[in-house]
Amino acid sequence: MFKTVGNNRWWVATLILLAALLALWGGWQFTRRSRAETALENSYQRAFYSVLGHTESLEVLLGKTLASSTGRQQTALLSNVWLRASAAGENLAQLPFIKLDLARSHQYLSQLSDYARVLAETSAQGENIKGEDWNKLAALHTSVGELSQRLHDLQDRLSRGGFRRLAPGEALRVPGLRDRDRSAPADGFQEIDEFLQQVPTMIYDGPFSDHVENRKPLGIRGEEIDASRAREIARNFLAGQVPTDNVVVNVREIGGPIPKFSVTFGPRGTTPSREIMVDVSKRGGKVLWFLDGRRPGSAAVGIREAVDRAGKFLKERGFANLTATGSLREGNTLVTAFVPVLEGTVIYPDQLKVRVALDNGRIIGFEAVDFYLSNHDRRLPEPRLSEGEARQLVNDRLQVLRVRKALIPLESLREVLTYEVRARLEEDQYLIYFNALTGDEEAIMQVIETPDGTLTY
Amino acid sequence: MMKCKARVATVLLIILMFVLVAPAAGQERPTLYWGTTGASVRLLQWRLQQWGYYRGSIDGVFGANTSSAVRLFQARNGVGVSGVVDPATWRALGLWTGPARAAAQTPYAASRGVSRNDDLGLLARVVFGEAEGEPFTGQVAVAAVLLNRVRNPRFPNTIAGVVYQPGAFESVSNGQIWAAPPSQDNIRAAQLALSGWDPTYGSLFFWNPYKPVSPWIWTRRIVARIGRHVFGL
Repeated sequence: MFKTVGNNRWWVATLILLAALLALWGGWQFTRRSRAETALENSYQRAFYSVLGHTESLEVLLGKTLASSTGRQQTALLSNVWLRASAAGENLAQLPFIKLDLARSHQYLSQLSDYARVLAETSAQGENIKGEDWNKLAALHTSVGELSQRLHDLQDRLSRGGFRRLAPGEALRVPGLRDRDRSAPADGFQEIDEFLQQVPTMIYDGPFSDHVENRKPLGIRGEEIDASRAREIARNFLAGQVPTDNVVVNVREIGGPIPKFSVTFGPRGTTPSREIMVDVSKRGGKVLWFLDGRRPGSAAVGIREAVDRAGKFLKERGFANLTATGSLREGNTLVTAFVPVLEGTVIYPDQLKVRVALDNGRIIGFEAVDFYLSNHDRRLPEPRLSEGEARQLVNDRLQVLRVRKALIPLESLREVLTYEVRARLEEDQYLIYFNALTGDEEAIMQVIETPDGTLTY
Repeated sequence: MMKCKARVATVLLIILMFVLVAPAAGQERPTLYWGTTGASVRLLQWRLQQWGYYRGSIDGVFGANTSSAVRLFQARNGVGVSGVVDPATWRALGLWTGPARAAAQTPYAASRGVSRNDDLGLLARVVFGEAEGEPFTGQVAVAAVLLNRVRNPRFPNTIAGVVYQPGAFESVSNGQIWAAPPSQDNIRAAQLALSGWDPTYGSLFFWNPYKPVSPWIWTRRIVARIGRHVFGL
């Protein structure tokens, strides 16, 4: 009897202890979760206030630019616009919206930033901003002001519940959310994005200009081909490089900026990851790219031989007068870039890339999309500067290693004829491009030698 | 007493050697080329002879023999073959006395902070998270979509910005990208995309048509189908 009571007491004590432990654990978990949620909310709030802060500065900076009368001052202001707009965009992208498409808002900020940079470069030459550009800036000043106003309205609503109060699906799934909490912030941002849809498109000399996105392939011409012809072209292109017992798995026609046939080869009895894909353009039947998923074994072919083999591969397929511009070793493969040489000028926009397996020296990849987007019959302008004059332009701290003529694409896709100067500053090498007509310094690349090859930045 | 003297002599010898071999640390070596003469040339010839590149006499005159020895040394040691003994060559010879990296002449130090590995690692992780088990081309394509977003005004303009955009990639949201290190294939796919391969023709979106996806995604223009993914603009 006594013993049973003792047992019961023990049971009760154990249960109470367990309950207490559970409660402690629960409390601890709860605190941890709410801390984590708060940390998340805080980082969202920080991003939001950064967007707001930068947008406010943008309005002021654009106003000052419009009021300024010297190019020097405008350059400083526009450089600031460039940085602020880019920072605002970066923070906007960190706000937790999924369903909501803020693409237009982001595009607006990117273009504003980019446009300011392009204008800053012009005004840095002492030219005052006028005419069309002044009007565009004035319009941007108005729309940024409107944007800033709307963000202020949102700030009020956000301060009530924060991002936690967003309905599921609109924001990242935050636990404990109910549908009736669905509210303000998401709707507010939706309105902003819709408002920005009405801002006219921006065409200017920069990479984010609307014309860059709607690019047409210049190098794709000729008759349309059918699927069986595409299969034949793909097979011929791979001849000698890929084992001949490959079977064609699939030929698919796909639209897009360059309509093409996608041909898939699969060696018998291997896994899908070993597939070889070849894209052949519908018009003209050009091979746009191919990739073999094979993993090369240990390297047996030297770098120089691999580059030679890549060059020979291109020559056999009708690409004439090419020069290799750089190679990069990636594991047991070597990627080499080639560009055509026309009248002693290197044509950088028409780039081709070849990937060689270093175990057996076969070609396992080819890329010509850039080539076909930009290749066309070009008439190169007559340079107004001589090579000697171009050398004179180089910063005299640099030691010039080589000068040659090169056609380069600017970020806006505009092509300019330049002198490419390879020069050394102590141990670093740079490629500097001087416009062959005006002498302007158009671009600078830093050459970075790595154990695997050369990179340019 | 004898012992003490010996020690003094050793110390003296050490100091003397230091003075001979490394005159006034911080002072730079002159750049040598065909025709230069003097003590520095003698030092150069001595070192090249020591290391088996030079067979002539140590006469302190930079002539044909010295020049070809310098070229040979430069070619074998990855210094630009110029026949000119510049700071980089002095450094390779182990005889540089100036500041560790920058030449004494200018305050410019060689750049060394740039690498592709940071971008590559992140990109490879997303390839692992989003396209593991896809054909190799499909993995390259996923990496290419990320890079296309970086270049597009409607998306953030850094790789990290694109990867960590809230809700942009399921594998980033659920932590899948950190579940295991990316495979060699994932890394190679990311490398190829960074080298400019884009099997997706500038696509900004990809989705798996066999999984439930937002109907909005089907309003995109499809430009490629690779493995189980559809790629669109």
